[in-house]
Amino acid sequence: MSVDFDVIIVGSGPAGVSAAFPLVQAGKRVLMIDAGKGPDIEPPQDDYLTLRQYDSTQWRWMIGKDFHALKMQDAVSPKLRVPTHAFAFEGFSAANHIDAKDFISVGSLAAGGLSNSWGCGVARFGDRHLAKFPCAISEMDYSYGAVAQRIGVSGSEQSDDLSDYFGLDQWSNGAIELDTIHKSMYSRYQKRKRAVQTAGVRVGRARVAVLNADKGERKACNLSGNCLWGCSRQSLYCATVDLALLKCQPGFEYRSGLVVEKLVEKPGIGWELNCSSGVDSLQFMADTVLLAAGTLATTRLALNAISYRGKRPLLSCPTAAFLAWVPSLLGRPIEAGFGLGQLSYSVDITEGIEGFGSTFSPTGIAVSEFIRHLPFGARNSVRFMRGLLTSCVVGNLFLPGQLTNAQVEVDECGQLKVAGVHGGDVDSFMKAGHRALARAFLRMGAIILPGSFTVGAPGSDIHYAGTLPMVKDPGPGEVGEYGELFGASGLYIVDGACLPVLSEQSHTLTIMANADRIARHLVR
Amino acid sequence: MRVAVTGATGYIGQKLAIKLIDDGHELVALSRSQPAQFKSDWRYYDLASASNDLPLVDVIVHLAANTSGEGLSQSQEVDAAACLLAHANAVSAQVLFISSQTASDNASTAYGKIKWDIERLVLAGGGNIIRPGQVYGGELLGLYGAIVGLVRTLPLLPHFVPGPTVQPVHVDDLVEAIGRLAEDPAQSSKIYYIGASSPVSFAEFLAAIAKYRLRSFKLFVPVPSILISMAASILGSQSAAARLHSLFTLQDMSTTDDLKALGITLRPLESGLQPSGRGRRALLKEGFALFSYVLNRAPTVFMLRPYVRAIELLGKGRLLGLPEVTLCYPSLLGLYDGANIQRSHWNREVMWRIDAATSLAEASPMGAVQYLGIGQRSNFINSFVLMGWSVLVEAGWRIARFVFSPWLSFKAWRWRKSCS
Repeated sequence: MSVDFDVIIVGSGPAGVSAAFPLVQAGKRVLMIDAGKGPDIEPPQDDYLTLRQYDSTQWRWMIGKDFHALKMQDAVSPKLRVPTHAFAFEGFSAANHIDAKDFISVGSLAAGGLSNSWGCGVARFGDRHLAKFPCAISEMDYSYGAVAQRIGVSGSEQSDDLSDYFGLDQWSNGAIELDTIHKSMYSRYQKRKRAVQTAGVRVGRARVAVLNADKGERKACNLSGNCLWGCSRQSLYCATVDLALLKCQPGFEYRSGLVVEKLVEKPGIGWELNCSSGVDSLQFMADTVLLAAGTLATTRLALNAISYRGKRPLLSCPTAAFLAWVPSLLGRPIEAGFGLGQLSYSVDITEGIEGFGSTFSPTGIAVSEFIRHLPFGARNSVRFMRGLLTSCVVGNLFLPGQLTNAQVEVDECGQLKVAGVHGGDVDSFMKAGHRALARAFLRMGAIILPGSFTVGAPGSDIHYAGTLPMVKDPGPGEVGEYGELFGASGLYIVDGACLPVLSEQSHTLTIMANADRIARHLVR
Repeated sequence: MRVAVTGATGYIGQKLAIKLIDDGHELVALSRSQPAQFKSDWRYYDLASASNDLPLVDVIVHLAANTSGEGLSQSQEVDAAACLLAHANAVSAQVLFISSQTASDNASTAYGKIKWDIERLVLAGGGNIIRPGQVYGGELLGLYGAIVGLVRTLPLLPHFVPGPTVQPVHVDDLVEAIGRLAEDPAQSSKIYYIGASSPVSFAEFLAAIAKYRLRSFKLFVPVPSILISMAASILGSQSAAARLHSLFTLQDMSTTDDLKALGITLRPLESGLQPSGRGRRALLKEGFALFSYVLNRAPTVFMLRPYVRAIELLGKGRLLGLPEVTLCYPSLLGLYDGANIQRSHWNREVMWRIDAATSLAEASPMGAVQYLGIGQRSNFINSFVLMGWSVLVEAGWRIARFVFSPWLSFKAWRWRKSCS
């Protein structure tokens, strides 16, 4: 079999498409392979509240014609219950031979990967974290700029207290309008900044991969409130947007419906990819292969390719969620608005450890999601929440990835075993974070409702990284400065798996920037 | 999507037609008589005619078949299918052929042989095929109608030894499978096997019809299967004996993968065989009570349909058996809700159904009003009163739950007994 492509990229998620652009633009012949699942249901076409009021068959997209939401009642996140996103999660672990024990493992077989259903949070890792990358910070910054401008990120009209923390303002396209409740909290923050900051909390606008102005086929956000249910305007970034652009480029070829089973090194020729379509198997050949299948799937392929039998650490951010109530806004009429992060905060936990989180409006989330946590019967819960929820915000908190003790390992059948627990400090750090946030929120006029602060199960953040970290002088199970796997010449790791550090911040943009940086190196 | 269905007035055809129309597709019914059960575009279609006027569509579902064994030669039926395929090819329509479990090169009936011949044509033309098991349920039509009629009239039922097995599939589930495949045809042509993944003996199937559909008790007499084989070979391949004999030669189908691929969960015989209306009506009443409880308002029947379907699919169609009084006074369901005095199987099922009703009731315009307060006057005072009231009422229910806990345990015990 001859080499038909210069580079094969496995996976069409944020990392895959980000690596593809520099390669294609430099005239390389690129083949992208993915499992290519697509949505079964159209996202809602009208405003969320309008549809809720008039669509008599709304259960079809809220619950699903096959009752997806009821079947997934035990899943860890409301996202996993949304029928319009079911395709993004289905079948991943089985197809990729991943077996997780006491650890939530989620991945995607969809075109565009997990970006079909992400929270769209973006950030540049702080210098403290980037210093652990084996490359010059300037290289990363160049790529951050390239990616941020391509996907479109929202920011702040003027610089705010998190401008440096996010480090993205120079590329941002303006701010998304805050809803009444976030406006109220933010203006109180402005007035009592000193008091909030003494609690160790700094607040600013959330930085989100959403458009403020039309961009090509994508339309600007119109605050329809459908963020959780699927954005028919494509205001929220999803890698399928880039995939569509790539397909128009000469030299780019896309084969979907394939899961890569195995990589075999053919000395003197390159790498042979054995793919399965479920019915038949196919082979492709290239001397350069970029793995961007998502941290877990990539790790399995890479460890099998070098026959590595041993444990590798897995980074994953401990996470918590809570409900905060603004009593002065009790009885506020319901209002449409942006459904993802509106305000963000960084929280000092202890020396060298910070927490990060955002607050959301609960409007675009099914009320049933809250009812299940209330110690009331259903009828009284519905009544109680009707009174309460319009004056509430939902918040979350992420801690750095190294605080989870998780490992992955390939067993003798080639299956990837994932297991992990929160490190011993997580409990106390979460308590400290909760305390700091409770104090800070109180000074912003909001009460974190007692009993609502819930720490998620290990892995429920779905930020996985660092199994095959980049280091200056790599050894077995590590990769070099440009993602090349030790002992596997021509095999590059370009997704979350190669991050040397997982900050508490949203990590997707960093994965994309790093993939962009590696691809730029390859064409240099 | 524009879909043509041949045999749209038949047992499966009518159900399919109604489903396609409900799902918002444009239907062209192809049949000898104009359908009376639904309104759609209709064209005269006869398997015996060589000059049928075929429509321009995206998908053709070929259901029409000669089940009487008379008035039509074998080759005419295969020729009609060939015509249909040629037309589909010309207008680049997807073809979906509904075959039979009896389809086989050496089938003992003409029916099975014809199905086999047409299958070859369809596969060669790149179309898809569904081979359903024993189709049952709904109106008493087709083979199912004939079997129910026999079970009703015969004083004794035959128990063939060695016994043939069947893989039942409810007509609504089959129609769901056809609909899914029509909406999203497989890339390569393929035969889908749709029926219960574990076969049941034919005698069990008849007994289930007697028990659940007819609510009567029937005695079985053992009949050596060889008698039927003899009768079939004497009377010929078009005879009733031959059709019965075709059951004995059925190969078990492995259906699990295809059901999974299409995302179909088959309902169990017990709920599928409930006389139309009776089981559903009871589930509707149960849904009505649960929705009224959650919403604090009476739901419409339209809102309850997804609940009934959800329980048929996920709750095996079993009734909770809520006491009559809760059906009249749904607020009494507060007694069961959150009653964690004893986490019995029944308690869990009740809680699961209240959760399901809570989610489904929310997903409706009435739900938007009751859960979000859309379109309602809302201010500090009335929200405060609303919340305070909910807390007070809940406190009252907690006391009531405690007082009634022995009775609830009794209820759970009785349900567990009826389960086993």
